[in-house]
Amino acid sequence: MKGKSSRNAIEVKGLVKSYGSIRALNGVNLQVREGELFGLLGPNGAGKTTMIRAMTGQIRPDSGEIVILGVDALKNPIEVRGIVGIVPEQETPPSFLTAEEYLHFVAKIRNLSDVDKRCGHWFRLLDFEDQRDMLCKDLSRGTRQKLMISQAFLHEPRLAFIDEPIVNLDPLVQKKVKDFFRDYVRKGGTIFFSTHVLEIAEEICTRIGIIDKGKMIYEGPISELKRKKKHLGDFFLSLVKD
Amino acid sequence: MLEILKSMVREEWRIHASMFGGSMFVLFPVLIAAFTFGFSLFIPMFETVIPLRDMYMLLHYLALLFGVSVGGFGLIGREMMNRRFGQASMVAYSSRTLPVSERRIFMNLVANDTAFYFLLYMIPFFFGLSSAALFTGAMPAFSLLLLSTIAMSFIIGMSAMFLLSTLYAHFGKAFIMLLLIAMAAAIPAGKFLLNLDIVRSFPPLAFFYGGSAEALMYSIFLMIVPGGLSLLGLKIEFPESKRRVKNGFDGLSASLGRVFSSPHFVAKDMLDMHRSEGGLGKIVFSFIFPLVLIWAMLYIFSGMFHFPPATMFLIFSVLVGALSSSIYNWLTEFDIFSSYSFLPVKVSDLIKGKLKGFAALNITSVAIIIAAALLMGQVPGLVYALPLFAVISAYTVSSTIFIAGLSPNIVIYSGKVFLQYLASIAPVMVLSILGCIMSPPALFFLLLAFAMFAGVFLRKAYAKWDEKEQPMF
Repeated sequence: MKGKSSRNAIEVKGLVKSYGSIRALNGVNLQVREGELFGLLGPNGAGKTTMIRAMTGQIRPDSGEIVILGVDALKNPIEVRGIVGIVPEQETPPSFLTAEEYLHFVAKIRNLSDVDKRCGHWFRLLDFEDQRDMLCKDLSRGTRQKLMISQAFLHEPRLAFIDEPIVNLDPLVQKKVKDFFRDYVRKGGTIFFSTHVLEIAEEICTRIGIIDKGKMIYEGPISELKRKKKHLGDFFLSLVKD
Repeated sequence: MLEILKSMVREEWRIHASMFGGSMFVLFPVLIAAFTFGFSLFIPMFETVIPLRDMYMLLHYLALLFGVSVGGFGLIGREMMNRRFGQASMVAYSSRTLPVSERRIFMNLVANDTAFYFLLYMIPFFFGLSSAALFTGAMPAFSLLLLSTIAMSFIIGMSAMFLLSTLYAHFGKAFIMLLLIAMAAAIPAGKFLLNLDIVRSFPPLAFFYGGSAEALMYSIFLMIVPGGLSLLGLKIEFPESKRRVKNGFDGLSASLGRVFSSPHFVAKDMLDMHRSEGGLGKIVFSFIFPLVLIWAMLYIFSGMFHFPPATMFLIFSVLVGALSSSIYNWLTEFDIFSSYSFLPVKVSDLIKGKLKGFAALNITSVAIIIAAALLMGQVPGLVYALPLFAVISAYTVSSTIFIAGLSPNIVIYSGKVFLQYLASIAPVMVLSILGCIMSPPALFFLLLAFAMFAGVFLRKAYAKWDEKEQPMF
């Protein structure tokens, strides 16, 4: 893997998804190139989680097109989830498996070899080796989040979707995770993450999109904001305050 | 105290209403009343074979059985409260944030569940029975005495099972072993215990028959004391008790891999069962105990109907087969699809995994049938009984999966689902039992048909649930 390429990792056209009378996504268009670290920002309830779930085939949109790494996500959702990694919004590993057993379980689902080596790498990197034999139900939220990040990258995917990536992590691990994300995209991987913590987006993203009430209201490189000496927080508030 | 209970009742209503609509939830007790009404219209016909007095006895024991099958509160514990409806945040889980003790919350949970069983089952059942009596005149309509004694029987069953499950939560496997030994020791006394006079002295029934104050006192004692002791001695797992365990997944998965494909799903389910609070207790209290009670009831009634033991044994096998689908319900209790939705897994993959777990745990059912055959001197009858059990079990679980997917415990309270479930199971049960009574050889053709239906149900179920969007939490 290396650097940003001209190929699209994510292509979304006219995405619409409603829950009853609420239109969660309202004709969203988006392209994310391989090697980008794309941050989807938006206030609570803006449609960020719905967007990730639709792009990864976890929910079926009402209309629109989604192509992930060249695979049609509407026709082949299982294939999409096989090639990407996903950190869901809720960290819900099975209660009665240990952290280690859960990673082994995910490895079995993904047909991976060298399981011990892969798991060991993540236990060391995210510093929770001493909790590998604890039942998931007894892990702290932060440790469960570490576990969910580990499962998402266990198969070394080319593209990862991360919903609120580091909100529960302590500053030390936050730094490690941010460094990992940067290194990952430097080597050619692509990350799409959603957050409402603007500082994280400003610090690590190469490009951002702002979604509000189901509509993409801004999309552009973070460098452009920096060039215009615009502070992301002020810019965000100016767009979504209405 | 009442505020918490009111919030819980409101919450329970909203959860079900949000899942399949308020009208479907309301339809459930209406259907119970309607079916009881329809069935009760035939009471005058049944009366030609079985005296009304014994029909009352059957009613009381059915209420007791129902109480026994739902009373395992001691197995619930905190995790269950949290996971019962996925990751939904429940009032039952609020002692962390509110100045209310765990015990108080739990008392309210028991009261809430009891109230729901009354509203959803007991009262509609009584209403249907009494409405039919207005037409048939077979029994007094809207008898408060009957409602009270049936309710007492139900609460006694719940209370007893609550105590046993609480003792299990404290003493674990040792208690189960003791209980099984006690049951085995009681077998020689079985014929004496199942004597009709003794059976009729069940306190609520005795009070119904004779109205004696003594029977009422015994009934009140049996309702209050076991449940009260359980609440006092309730064991609630606190999050501080963090458990560290060796990796059991890899070994189990490898062993199961010799029998099943995709053994990791089965291994995960088995570890869930083993490590959760229910575990072995769930098998004993929710399955073996009700079956023992059913066996006892069959024993009594076969005497009344003059059924040969061979027929009774076959009917018992049919009932074990039908009840065995509850094993699938346990296996689905710990999972919601949103825990897997971000992995390359289809709903049908999960269902197939649970079916394999179901097949493995169903060995318990086979053991029960073999034990019953030995006890009743019906070992040759196993040739019929085991295939009969296997097909009924496969049919009930397949139709459960087709109708309710991964959430049988929740969606059964939708009137529509309940109706579908009854429509698919009831004819099969009636035909099978009639086959057992009238012509065991004819059962062969019935079984063939049921097995084919089971296969069709399963194939269609996989496609149906893969297509349907699962609720996300």
